[in-house]
Amino acid sequence: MSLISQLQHRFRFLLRRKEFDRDLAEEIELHVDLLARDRVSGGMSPDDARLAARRAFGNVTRLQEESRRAWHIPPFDTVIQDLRHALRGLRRNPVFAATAIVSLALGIGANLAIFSAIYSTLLEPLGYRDPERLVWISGSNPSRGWTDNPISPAVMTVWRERNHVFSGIAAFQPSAVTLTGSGEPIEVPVQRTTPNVFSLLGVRPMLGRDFVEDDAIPNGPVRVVLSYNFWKRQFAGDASIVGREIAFNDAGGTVIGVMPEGFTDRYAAGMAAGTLMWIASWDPTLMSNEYGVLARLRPGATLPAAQREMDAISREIEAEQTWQVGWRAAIGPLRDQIVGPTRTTLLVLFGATLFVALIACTNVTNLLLARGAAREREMTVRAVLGATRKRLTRQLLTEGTVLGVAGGAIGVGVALLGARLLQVLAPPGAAPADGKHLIGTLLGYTAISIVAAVLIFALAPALSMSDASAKGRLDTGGRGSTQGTRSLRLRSGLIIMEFALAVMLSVGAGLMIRTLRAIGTVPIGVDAKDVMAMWIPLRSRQYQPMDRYIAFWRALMPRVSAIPGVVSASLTRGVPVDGWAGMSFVATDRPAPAAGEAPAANYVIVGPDYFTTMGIPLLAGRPFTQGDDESSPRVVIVNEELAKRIWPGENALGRTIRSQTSDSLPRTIVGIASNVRSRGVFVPPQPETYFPYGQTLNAPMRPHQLVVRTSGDAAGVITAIRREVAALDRTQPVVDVKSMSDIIGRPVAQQRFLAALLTAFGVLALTLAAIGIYGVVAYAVVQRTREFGVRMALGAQRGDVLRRVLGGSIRLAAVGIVLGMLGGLGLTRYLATLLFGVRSTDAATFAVVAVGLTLVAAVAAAIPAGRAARVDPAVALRGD
Amino acid sequence: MPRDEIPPGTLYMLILRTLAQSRQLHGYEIARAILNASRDVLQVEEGSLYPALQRMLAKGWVTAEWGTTAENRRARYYTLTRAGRKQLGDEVARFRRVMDAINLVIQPEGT
Repeated sequence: MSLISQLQHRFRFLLRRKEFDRDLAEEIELHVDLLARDRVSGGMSPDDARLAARRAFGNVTRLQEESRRAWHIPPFDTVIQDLRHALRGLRRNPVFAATAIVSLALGIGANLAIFSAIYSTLLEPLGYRDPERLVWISGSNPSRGWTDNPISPAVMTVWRERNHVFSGIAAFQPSAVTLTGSGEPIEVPVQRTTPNVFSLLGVRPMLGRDFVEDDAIPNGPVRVVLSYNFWKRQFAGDASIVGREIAFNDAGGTVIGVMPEGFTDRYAAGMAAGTLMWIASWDPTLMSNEYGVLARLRPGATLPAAQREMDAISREIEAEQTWQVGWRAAIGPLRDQIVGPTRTTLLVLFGATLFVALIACTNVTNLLLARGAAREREMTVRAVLGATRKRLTRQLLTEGTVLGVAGGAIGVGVALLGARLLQVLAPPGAAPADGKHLIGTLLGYTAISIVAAVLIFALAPALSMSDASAKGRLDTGGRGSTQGTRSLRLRSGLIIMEFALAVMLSVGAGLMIRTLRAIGTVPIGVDAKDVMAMWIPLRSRQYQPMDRYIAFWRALMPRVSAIPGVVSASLTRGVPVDGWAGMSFVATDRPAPAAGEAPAANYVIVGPDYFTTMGIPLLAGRPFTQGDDESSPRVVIVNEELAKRIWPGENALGRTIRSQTSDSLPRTIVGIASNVRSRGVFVPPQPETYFPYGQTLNAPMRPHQLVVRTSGDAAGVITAIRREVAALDRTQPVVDVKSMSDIIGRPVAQQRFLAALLTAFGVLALTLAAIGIYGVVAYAVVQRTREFGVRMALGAQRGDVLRRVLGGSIRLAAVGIVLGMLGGLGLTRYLATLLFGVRSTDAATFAVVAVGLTLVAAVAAAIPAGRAARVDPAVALRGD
Repeated sequence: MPRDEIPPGTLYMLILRTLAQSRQLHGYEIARAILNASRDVLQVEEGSLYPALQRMLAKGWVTAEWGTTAENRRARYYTLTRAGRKQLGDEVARFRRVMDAINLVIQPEGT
């Protein structure tokens, strides 16, 4: 029989032991009966015959044992034996087993959760053809310090014509449309793209066809491609949708294709999210910078070569078009653009979870060593009975493996929970994707973690415990032996490592907490409490003419203000942090700036109550009124920063500026508002220009947002607002309702996330380290009970004993803390990009952590130390 | 006549041979057959018969199947496999070799 089939055969046996025993018993019964029958026919009495027959079989138990043994696979035999022994041992020590397994589960689980996030964001291949040849192109103006700007079609057309390094360039503009036609109008996020975007990425629609050049002609027939999820959800996965018209923004378009499942707008690197539909639309003459640009490098072209060529082209464009002075094209790998700031966060967290896992393993090692000391006698007896060192080590490793597998299995559960938490709490881009396809990778990683963990925590104890030198150990009762001392030294070393790791985690957490507090002290400039913002896009054709658009808002605003619970309301283009739109302007009483050097300010269109709604104080002059309309003089409100830059030390009121837009009339400054950090907390205040919406009929942008200050019941107010909007026009949705606090918090999301998690991990690490030191000190105290008894009998005070024990343990922790400080000084530089208002070597943070952890160590050690001091000398001296 | 133990190492061979001669036998029948074929000399130890059968099953030299005896009792019947037949050939050859060698050694002087 081949080895394989033999193994199979034997496996089957192993599973059916009871059945095997029963069958064998039946066989033997029959044989006994037949033997008995023979004897009876030879003249014996039936009873005697049976007895004789049974006796012929001898020791039935041994027979069964031997028969069973026929099936054992030798190497397997010992493994199964070890496993059974290990399980039995764990069952007998449930507290130890539970502690070890829970520690491991937490360590492995946390690490696995972060790894899944890292894998799906940083490591997993993007689903595009040759993704490492894809690059992202953005606009930057080094002399002004502007980066990451979107591009205009006009500029991109020039790039397309003149470059030799790209096999294709595509552009997309995130937008939204209102889908009409069936029931409630719904807001659908879309992208307007060049027709080559899918072919550039190398993905084809799974139904219908890809875009062609003709699909994107401005004012031509509108063609759209649906995303898979949108197709399933909105059109019930009906394949006949291809070729049909759907209605949106009144006009609608023809569906020509559906993208495959799993294709997302990830390539848009955060510029778009949740795109449900792509519309081919490209006007190469447009000059507004609103497009994200992707390109594919030609085979053989390198990134630096591409950058050089684009620099040359940018210089040509500068010379030809004065409005492009100072602008460059910045090229980078697409993946870097997609991952962005989350990389640092995730890597830091990964390091943190590794630390936690290490500490957990260390604790388990300590537990094993503690238990090992108690099992010295058992080990010695085994050795004396003939177990080789290899056998003992293997047995101990099996115990470790059982712990590791159990911990790992539960850790997977912890990781699932953790991943769910991450998806809820993490800033976008840092959360693990919902990936059934990831299961293989994640299970593989779990297996590796378990193996690594077992090697880490089980190897040392296994080796130390199996060192079976039986001499003299049995009679001293295994106490005070060299084995015990070596074990103690090992455990002390592990405590030092635990404290070092805990220090590093705590320092990281401390720095992040200080960062958050520093961020908190920076005033955004608005009073965001109880302020809600929402979009009323008004995309229907009837609102295209600006006067009809404004008329809607004029009708809506009084109704909104009349809602009970609304303290004040205003419409606006752009809220702080979320809606920067830069426009250059000139001050009429200042010399004209050189090309490319005109100052830029945030272009904000507002209603009269904007400043009171947002809580922005007016420092001078007056707010807008309903009287500021088309028939009255053109006015503008600027902020402190603008006034300071253009007219330092002078009064800006009464002066005039002119925005470089098509609405090029000079405007008089009638008010100066307090500064607002409209580009987020990390960017100092920029110049702001506010325009009354009654005077913006020719403005380049429209105010789409409504902001309201409520007196508390935000939900009720929102519902009432929806009602009022519906009363004016049932087909217009109110979307993207957010609180100002959330909007302001978004740029800080990475820091908040990191601070929260690092703190959690720090606390966990600290708890584990405290438990660790408690365990070691308690063990040492037990070991040295006799010594303490002797000392006290010879006259030492309880205080002396206490001081001795405490001193020893604090010294231990101190070594660990110092090592942790050194490690922290080296590692915190990796946090530097996320810190704000605090240096990575901040002395105060380090000091607080050092003192704090020393206290923790002292308290954790004090409990068993106290017990040592209470030892009754008589009992200690007598006892064994 | 006193019955002798089966020499160590030959039990498998005897069982295999017995099964080669009769299609299917259960444990008792095998023991009986060996006793009869050896003219009442070779007595199989019941205590070693069943472990040996199990070992042969594990090695794939025989297969076993539950059936009923003439008296309607449930019994496990053993059959020789092809591998078992080969094993039988090997063991018999080896045994004969050893026996010839032993015979040479114990051959009385001068015969």
